[in-house]
Amino acid sequence: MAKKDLFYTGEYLSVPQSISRKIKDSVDQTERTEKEEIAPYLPDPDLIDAVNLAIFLERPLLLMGEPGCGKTRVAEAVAAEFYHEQPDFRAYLHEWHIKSTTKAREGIYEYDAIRRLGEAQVAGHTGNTASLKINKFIEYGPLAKAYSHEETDMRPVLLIDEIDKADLDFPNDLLRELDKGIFYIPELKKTIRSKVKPIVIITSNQEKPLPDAFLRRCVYHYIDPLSPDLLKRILRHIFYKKEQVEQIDKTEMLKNAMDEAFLKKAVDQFNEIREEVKSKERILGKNVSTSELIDWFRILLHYRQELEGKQHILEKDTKEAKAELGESYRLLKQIYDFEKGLDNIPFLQVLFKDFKTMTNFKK
Amino acid sequence: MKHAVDQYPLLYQLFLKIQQYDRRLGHLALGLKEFYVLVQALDQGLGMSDEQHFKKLVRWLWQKPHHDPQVFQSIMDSSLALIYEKSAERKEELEEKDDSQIGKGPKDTLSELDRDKTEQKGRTSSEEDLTSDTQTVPKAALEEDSLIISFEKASPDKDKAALQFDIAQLSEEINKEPYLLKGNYFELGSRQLQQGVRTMRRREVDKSKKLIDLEATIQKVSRQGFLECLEYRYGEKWTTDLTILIDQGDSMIAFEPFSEELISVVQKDKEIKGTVYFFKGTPYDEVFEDRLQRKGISIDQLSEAPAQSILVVSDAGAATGRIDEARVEDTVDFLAGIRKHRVAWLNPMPRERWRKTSAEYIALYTSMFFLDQTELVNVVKLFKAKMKSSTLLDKYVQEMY
Repeated sequence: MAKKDLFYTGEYLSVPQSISRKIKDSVDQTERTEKEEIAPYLPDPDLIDAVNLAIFLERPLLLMGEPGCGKTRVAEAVAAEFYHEQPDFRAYLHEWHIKSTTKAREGIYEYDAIRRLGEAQVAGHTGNTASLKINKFIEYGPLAKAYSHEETDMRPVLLIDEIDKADLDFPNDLLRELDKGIFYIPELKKTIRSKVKPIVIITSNQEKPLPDAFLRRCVYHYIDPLSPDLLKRILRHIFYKKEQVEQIDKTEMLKNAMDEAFLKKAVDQFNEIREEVKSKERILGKNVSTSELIDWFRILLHYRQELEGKQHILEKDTKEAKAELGESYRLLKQIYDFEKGLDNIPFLQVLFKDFKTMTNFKK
Repeated sequence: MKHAVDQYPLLYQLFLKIQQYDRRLGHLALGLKEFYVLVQALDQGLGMSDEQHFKKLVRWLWQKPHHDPQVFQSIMDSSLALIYEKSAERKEELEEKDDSQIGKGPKDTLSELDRDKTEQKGRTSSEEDLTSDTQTVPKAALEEDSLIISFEKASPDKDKAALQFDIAQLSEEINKEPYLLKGNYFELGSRQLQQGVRTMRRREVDKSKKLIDLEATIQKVSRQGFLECLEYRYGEKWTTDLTILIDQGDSMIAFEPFSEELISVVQKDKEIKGTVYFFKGTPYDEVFEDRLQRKGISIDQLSEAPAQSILVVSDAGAATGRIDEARVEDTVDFLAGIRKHRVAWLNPMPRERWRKTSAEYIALYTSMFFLDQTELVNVVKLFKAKMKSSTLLDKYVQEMY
């Protein structure tokens, strides 16, 4: 489907991966290769199709969706899948994280005039004007780096993250660059023409509407909340080893039935919370999303392991159990009750992250 | 690739509908380039495995964040359903005329599409090229501006041309809608309003930001001959200090949907910090924070507030068709009270209706504009240029105070 044999399957990062990358020493500028651990990323089939469509049509993919739904990680997942065999996969991933003050030119280059002025002063004393070459003071931005790749068969991935944070005119300022891949640097009197069109992934949290002219050029995909099955799959792949997962008639499960039941319980509870927040959206505001589920499950799992072998203590009289478990009684009791199916949602603060929403939810 | 040729009328229908939807929302409509992108994708077999995939493809390429997903979905569904129906009717007609011709002729637009899709599954485009006897759209045609012409060029079979739908007639049927008084029937759509109000913003010194002043630093170096220290300047930020005064008198009832649009633009957009007040007919002593006039602020408070842009939305008595001297006098008094601010008046009544009414006289004392795109640009210019109040108003103030 995609040109140049680039077809994103979403399979590569379905399990944790350790991928090579090069690190430059900030002091002596020497390079060394090291392995980077990348957490699994499991996209839903619609997202995979949208990525492939954008790759094929050579159009930017604009991703929107609730905060925490995994928009930003798409670019890393695509780059990891395509370039994990390269000595440095991050050389094919250019990330541009937008701030409210970001200007379009920063994506192309920045010229450090002050440093050059300082060095010119030194050169005035030493007579060494060679160090004043203007190239030394030009720092290319992620956009220019992505469009400067030479290998035409290896399209780099460019992430423009949270484009809606910038000024209203920002997206329009990028139109020519994204369309034509041509940049002019007046200080160098140089025009950069790209040989390869990067795979451009743009994310937005819809804080501000984007200009129509910009939207017209994009493949637009809204990441819907993930299905319970995919959420369970994500948790299995992040928190359990490959050997702990088995496949029975196209259904994936954890080999340990107790673990599977616990995981199912957590996802069901999470979906119930989602539904409730949705129904009280006006009071509660932002809904819980995948990234909160991952954090929440991490803490649930941690205390579940802590609870191992201590269940019998919690079955005792409260006073006695408190004396025996001390500080950890309260936390372990939450997990214990949760597993027993008692009306209790442990660690709500991890899901909601702010006290006000949490209190309103409890009401 | 015969099926793709047959699909163009369907795509074009959808395309027209979505264009209309965009325009109704006050957004830039999809362009032909976007149509071609979809054709290009279909040519490669994308979105052809089943109807769901086809709809997804349309959504990815033609749906935008400002579209309501449910409305977009219903546009797709209604267009598809109507075309299914039309297609079936046409087929019946043709079958009555000549059964044998239909057998040899091309497939009906959508009736055989599902079958095609199933056949299509798993086939590569190169295989299709070998097996198909008609070429869909030549590559060169994709470059052309006129899409409709390229469809016709691309359909060599006369029978196929007979199967093309009467697009104009179909569009007419699709567009039959009951009348509803909505904000988007006015000359200014919500999008234009939003953009207009946003462009009213202006730069202001932001003392919380300190930036290196490159020019001042270089000037200092060239003066002293060495770099001693950097020069700094304050940063800038955008501000929109906009106060909107909305007339909710009887003659303004027809324009209530418009004023609601304006309120939602000013209050919901995080980029705009606007305040809205209400009054009836003429603002006398106070203006109110809500339509029920429960809580108000005095005109004195408004006039003493830091200088800002004030936009009055009122027909200024134009709807009554007569001159109300008291109204003119009260309004001019009010305008004199808030003269330190930049004031613009947006009148929803057409200019010719101002003649021989209070509006004509009030317009002499303020900058009054009709509610359309061109005149909104003038409101922006007025707010940005810090234009002076009218000389007549100055004269009036000199005489009165």
